[in-house]
Amino acid sequence: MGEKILEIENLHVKYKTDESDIYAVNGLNLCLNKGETLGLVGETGAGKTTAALSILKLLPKKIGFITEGSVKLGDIDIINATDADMRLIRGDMVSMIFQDPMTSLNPILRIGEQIAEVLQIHKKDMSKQQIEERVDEILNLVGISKDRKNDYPHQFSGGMKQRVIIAIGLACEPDLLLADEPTTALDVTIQAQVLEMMQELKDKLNTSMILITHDLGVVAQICDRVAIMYAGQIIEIGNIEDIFEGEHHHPYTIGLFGSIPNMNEESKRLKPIAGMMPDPSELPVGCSFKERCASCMEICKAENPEEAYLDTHMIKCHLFDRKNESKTMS
Amino acid sequence: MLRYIVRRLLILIPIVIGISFIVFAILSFTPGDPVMNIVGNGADEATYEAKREELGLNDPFLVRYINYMKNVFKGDLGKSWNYDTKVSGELGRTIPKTLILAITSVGLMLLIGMPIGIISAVKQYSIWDNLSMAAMLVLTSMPLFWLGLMLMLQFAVNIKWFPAAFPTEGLGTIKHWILPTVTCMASMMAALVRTTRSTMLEVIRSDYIRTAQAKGATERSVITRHALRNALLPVVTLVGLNFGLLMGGALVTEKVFGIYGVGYLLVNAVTSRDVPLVMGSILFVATCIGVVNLFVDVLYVYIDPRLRSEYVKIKIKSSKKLQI
Ligand SMILES: Nc1ncnc2c1ncn2[C@@H]1O[C@H](COP(=O)(O)OP(=O)(O)O)[C@@H](O)[C@H]1O
Ligand code: SF4
Ligand SMILES: [Mg+2]
Repeated sequence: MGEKILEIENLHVKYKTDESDIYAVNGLNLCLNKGETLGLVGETGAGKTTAALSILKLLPKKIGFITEGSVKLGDIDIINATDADMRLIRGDMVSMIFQDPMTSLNPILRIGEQIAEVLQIHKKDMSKQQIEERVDEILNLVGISKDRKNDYPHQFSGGMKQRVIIAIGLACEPDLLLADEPTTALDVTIQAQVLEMMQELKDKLNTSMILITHDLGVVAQICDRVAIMYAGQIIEIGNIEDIFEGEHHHPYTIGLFGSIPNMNEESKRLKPIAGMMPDPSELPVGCSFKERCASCMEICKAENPEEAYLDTHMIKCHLFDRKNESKTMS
Repeated sequence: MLRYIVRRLLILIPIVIGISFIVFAILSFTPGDPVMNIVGNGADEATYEAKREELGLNDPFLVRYINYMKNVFKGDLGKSWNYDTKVSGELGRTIPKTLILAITSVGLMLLIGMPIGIISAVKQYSIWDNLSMAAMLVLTSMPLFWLGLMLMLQFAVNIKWFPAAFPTEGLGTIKHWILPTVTCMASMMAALVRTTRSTMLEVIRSDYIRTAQAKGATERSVITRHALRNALLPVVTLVGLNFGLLMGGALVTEKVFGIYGVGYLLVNAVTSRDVPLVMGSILFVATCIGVVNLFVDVLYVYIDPRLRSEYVKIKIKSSKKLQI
């Protein structure tokens, strides 16, 4: 496949709070190719947002820390990058779209100003005039009339606000877009519109994207690959076909999909699974899914499973550890 | 906007009249005899009665009030009972001093207090933050008159940087105003620093600040362009409140430094039951507070566009009423 735009290896992130240390991400491995869209799914608290924030080093100051691992954006080593380096990357090479459009825009600045700001920061050679024109253009792209650029956020609906946020994210045509549940806070009818628009723009600009979502229908529709996250680790990752049509799955994925996942079935939301995720302040020994797993074995209680690969498909579970040499996966 | 301001100013008139009525009533019905104060204890019956008649004190309360207000609307605040001088003249002598003290101390408070509050918030729990919070605690627990006296003792008496006494005539020089300004400011500073700090802390944690950071904005730009203006509303309220109060005179500061301002005037007038003088001062103070509040409200609308649409709603409502 094409060149790698993002490479995360063995990432560990910890939140230090007054009561305890919270291990939000525990050895996350992830690769992303140029132009690719990766769906990142998992229960609330799995560490999806934390992982995305780590890529931009936007973890809350003095609370969130990357304790181990490496993150590379192309050739750039994010872990050792300075604040000044990170500022050049944020908004220009990598943009992030946050979950709640209602609170993600500054209430006292006109939306035109908020879009122009990211251009002012990164496109120093653009004149005022050019920036204005680019703002009009990008508003047009996300389907907002340029006459409204002098309006304030409270004058827009939730869906329109999310369009403005997407406009900010795409203004500098980033190589990578991190979209953290971009449609969760929106009405169902608006969700489809916004997603469709995002996919169109992404294709047009050849942007890679990590789409964090709960909606498996959306994943099947617009993602090239899917990663399933549990307790700060990716426990299964593969192409759409691997995940939706493949024969073998991590027990958690099966639980999540409610049955063996199937692309042809009606799009459905993730199913709740009995039990709870392990307390992120006290990580268990062995597999983190052992408490909830029907197939739990002796070895699961003692050892964290290794990643087992078959071509593009990876499953992190003892069921597939050694057996997959004899068993074929398709 | 202009219509809104005019309407608010019109509403102010009945409010000030109401206040004047209440104060007039309190002055009229509190026990004690103002005439005795003026003519002195040894005066004979005839002088006493003549004075009483002259001041109109033999008329019923309502008649007196209406007569007084009639004159006020003609632009005549009457004469002070005690000094026999024009009330407008007394106010003209005291108001400039009160204004100077209010403007300088509020200005200096903003200049010093806002940056302290902002830095404390941005560097929360740092040495700087702890130090400034401790300093503010000391400042609040310090009696104002004591601070004024200590400053005077140290800087005016011991090392003689500044004059200790305020001139009885005129407005003095810059040197005369420094110690009073600092004293007066100290009384309000702690509240400002704490308010700035806590609202900044709240704003810094909000989602749109993270959006600004994700754009690649510098920390400086995130603070000044995104956070500060959002944190300004409570600060504006506090400053407006303080400024309005100062229009009634910074009594303690005025007393300690011997500045004959509105506070001084008002207290003297009340203790000697000088009704025209009290009424004149009260009318001034009430109007000032009303105007300052209006100014704060207008500033709100300017700072926060969300309130602009609130204002539009008010406009729609009132125009609907007109149709009915
Ligand atoms: N600012 C924070 N301080 C302390 N703990 C946090 C903070 N943000 C997230 N966490 C914790 O980290 C874990 C992962 O959270 P998050 O990345 O938001 O998960 P997700 O996005 O998958 O729902 C959760 O247990 C959450 O409680
Ligand atoms: S490693 Fe064991 S406990 Fe964990 S998911 Fe696989 S079978 Fe279940
Ligand atoms: Mg999240």
